[in-house]
Amino acid sequence: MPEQSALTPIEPPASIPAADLYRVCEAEWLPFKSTAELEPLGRHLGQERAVDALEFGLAIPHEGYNIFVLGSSGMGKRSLLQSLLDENNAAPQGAVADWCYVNNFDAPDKPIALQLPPGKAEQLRSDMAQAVEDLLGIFPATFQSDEYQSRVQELSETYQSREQDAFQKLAEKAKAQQIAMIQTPGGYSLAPMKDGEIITPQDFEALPADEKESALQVIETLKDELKAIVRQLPGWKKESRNAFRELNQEFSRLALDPVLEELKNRYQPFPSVMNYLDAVHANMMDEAESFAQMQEDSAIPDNLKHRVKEFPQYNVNVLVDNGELPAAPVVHEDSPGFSNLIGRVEYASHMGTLVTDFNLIKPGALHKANGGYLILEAEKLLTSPYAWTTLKQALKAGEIRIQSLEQIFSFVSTVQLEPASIPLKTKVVVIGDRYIYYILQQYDPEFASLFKVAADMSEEVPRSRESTLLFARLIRTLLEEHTLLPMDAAAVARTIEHAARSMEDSEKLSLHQGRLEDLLTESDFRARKQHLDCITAEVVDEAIEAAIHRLDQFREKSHEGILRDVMLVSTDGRATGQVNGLAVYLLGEYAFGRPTRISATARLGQGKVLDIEREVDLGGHIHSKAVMIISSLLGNRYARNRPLPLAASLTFEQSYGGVDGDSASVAELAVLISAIADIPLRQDLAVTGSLNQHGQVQAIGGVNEKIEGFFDICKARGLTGAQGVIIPAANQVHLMLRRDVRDAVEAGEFHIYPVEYIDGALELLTGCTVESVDAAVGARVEELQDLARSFSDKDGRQDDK
Amino acid sequence: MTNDGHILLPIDLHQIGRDKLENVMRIARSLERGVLGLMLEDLQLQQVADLPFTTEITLSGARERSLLRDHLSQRCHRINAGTRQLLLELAGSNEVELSFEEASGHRLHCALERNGGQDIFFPPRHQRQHPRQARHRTRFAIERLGLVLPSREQGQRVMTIAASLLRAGLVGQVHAVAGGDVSITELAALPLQGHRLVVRTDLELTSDNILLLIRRSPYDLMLIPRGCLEPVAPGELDAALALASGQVMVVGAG
Repeated sequence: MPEQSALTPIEPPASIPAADLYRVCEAEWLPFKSTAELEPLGRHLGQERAVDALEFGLAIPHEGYNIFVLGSSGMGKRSLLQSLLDENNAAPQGAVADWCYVNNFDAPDKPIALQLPPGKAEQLRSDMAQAVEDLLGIFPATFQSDEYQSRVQELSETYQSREQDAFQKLAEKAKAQQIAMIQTPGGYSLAPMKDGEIITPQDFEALPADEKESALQVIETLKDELKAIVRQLPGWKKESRNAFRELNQEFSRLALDPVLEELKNRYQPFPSVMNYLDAVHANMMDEAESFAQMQEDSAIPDNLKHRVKEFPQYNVNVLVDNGELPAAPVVHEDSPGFSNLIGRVEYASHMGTLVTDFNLIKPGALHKANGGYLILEAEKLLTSPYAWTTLKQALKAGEIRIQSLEQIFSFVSTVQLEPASIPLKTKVVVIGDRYIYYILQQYDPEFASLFKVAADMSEEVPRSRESTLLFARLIRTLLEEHTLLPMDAAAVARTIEHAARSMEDSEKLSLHQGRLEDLLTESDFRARKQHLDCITAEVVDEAIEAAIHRLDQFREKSHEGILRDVMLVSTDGRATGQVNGLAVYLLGEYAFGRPTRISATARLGQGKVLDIEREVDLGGHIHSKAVMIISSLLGNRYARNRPLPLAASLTFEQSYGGVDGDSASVAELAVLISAIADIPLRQDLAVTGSLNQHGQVQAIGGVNEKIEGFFDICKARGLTGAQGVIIPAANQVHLMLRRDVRDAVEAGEFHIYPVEYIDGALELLTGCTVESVDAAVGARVEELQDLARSFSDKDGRQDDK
Repeated sequence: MTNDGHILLPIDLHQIGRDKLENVMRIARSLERGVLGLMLEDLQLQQVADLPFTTEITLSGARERSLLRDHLSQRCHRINAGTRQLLLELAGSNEVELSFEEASGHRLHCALERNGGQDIFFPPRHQRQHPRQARHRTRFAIERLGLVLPSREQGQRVMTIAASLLRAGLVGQVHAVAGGDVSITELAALPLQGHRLVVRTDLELTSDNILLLIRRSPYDLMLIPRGCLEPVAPGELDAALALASGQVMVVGAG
């Protein structure tokens, strides 16, 4: 083992001054007293790329240029879209029309779609209902009229008399030949007469044979004539029926033509409606009888209105009525399920069975947005069964076809309605998270051809004088929108600084509108509670603290575990083979940092570094990669020309939930070196940073939370004046630390040390020059090599895995 | 002896429809009269059946079948029994007094030889109304009531009966064929209650025209004073009644 006296002590370098730990908002950049003095912001801050994309996507009329607005949740995607897509002034994407379904009299299972100018469909519906109501009054009157009744009577008499005359004539002829034609229950019978009466059997027998023969002959002849008359009866009845039918048609036309001609005149400019009215005309002629049936109270106007419901086949099912719209339709569909998108056919229960017709067709969002715009949320669209596929089908086909899922999957073989498809021309705007967009781009081959425009929201804006003032105006706009109290300049400054902290970057401002609105709302609430008429910086601070406090319980419990030594973390002294790493815990919108002990052991072996987390599947891929980088760095640094005969192991002590990321690799290398060369490391320092194979320290995330996490533990135990955190130099620009941390740094009680290379971290942690540390490690490696040579045998046994 | 307060209903071998029997009962109830069912044995038809060579030519398909007396008797018995049963049921539900008598002979002859004061109801033998025509007349038991009024005096009881039927709500429209001194004012005095009254004065009520009216049956029920049938030959009246498709009620002197 190298002697401690071989190590050369070194004083720690200067830490980052307090002023550089937080970038304040320049007061001179906010030349106002209150936001009430500011002009509202008429456009979205920092979203030029997204605005350009949206303006392009909304204007271009070609197919496939639907839009995907991508950005994190709460960025203000919807409000950006609404600012560019004015519902009162939206330009049409295609013909904006009314649509309705009407009965197909030839094939009732295939309802016909009619297109009409906006407002006309409801007019047609009303006109048809009125026509039916009118006909319900006209038809009975027509068929009760004297003229009709007398024509019926005339026809009836004509055909009746034809029958009666025929029988009468034959009866008279028979009588003339002394034959009586007697009516029987089922028809007629012929019998000879004598003296005007039916002859008795005896009298007939008494007649001479030739007379009998003659009588029978006459009877036979008369029977033939009688049969001939009877055989003509069906033909006469048919003629009578035909004549009645023609009479009814004639009077039906008299009743129907004036009503329908008036309708046809009104809808002459619309050929499809004219075709429909012709079909209605023909059908009503066939169904005139049902109109003519009188009911007890049908003469009363109100009851005629009720009776209209008995003729649903003449209804007009208005699917889309754009009569009241000032511009093209803009439809926000919040529940983009399959049937909410393309519509559905409903069923009604009737006598134990389910029935439907064209009246039960209901529109979907695509119908309502036809000719205009449809706004959907990606997550809801993709998680609704078959909704995404359906939307793509409709967009590709350029038409809306209403089908049930049962029809699509051929689950049923019963008769279903197949409404005529409706041409579709609409601009679809899908709003979603960035990851959804990229997943669709990667895995859905149709997506790129249908959604050619990506409106990518920016998460941040560079912090400058100009953007600071614009941000202030944005705050003013939001305060006014939500009817909140104005803010003074100091409060605005505090809010802007908080926006930088949210971005984890002192040179950027977060454009997360949702979080900003939440802060403003809570600040307003607190200000009003204190009866202030303006939100101050102190109130903003309170709001920030309160929001943190509401989510802080886990952090408190976690730190409590450390302070009670349940979780072992040292904050002073030195120890070999252990170092304070730093981890960030993400709980939704809230993150906090916490020190965690990383330990290492080293012994004679075959040059492998064992990542215990990985071995038990608690280490993620990135962490495993980081450990491999450390292994390579170790070998490159200390065993380039010779074997490295050691076995080392690394672990995060008391960590049972899994670790990932490479932000602990500086700490891991330092603790390995400490274990190998038996060099104690400072426990009053925590370290965070990622390493590459050449020993450069790379930036990590959550630097503010990590520093504050270690600070909180040290402060709770009592600051010693020597404690601090080692961070990558590249993270300096991200520092936006809490006031108490800055105050402690200002007072020299806490220190933040930036490092660019592992050498700097080693010097800080060991308190020795890196050369002496390397020499100590090198000496130990040589020792191990000697040991390895002495222990090697013919079998080449290895005692490490 | 029959009661003059009854409506006489001759029942022979020709089946009478339930609706017609219901009408009789409704009319009897509205007039506060009873019904006398006269069960007839058609001697003439039986005479025809007695002849060994006589056959029946059916109206359905012009089939020729034998006309056996026994079959005729059985059929008569069956029809009479059925009609009797139905009448009993309807009389009970309408609370109309019902009685039966039997007679032999032809329908018209047997009916007319009763006391001249009695009213006689002749149901139609045939239904020749077009179904669509019939369907338009479903609101009233007697959609079109025809009144034959040769003179004021002869038409007195007809008017009285018509008024009772109107008050009972059985009538849709009234059609009066008026002659002689019948005044329209008197007709208008009927309790029409908003129902239509059509008066025809252009038809001379000769025997031939009355027979024509009976044969053609333009009304659902036609009330004819018995007196104006006296000049009509029975055979011709019988033939006309046989061909009638509407109900005819011969109104006696009362």
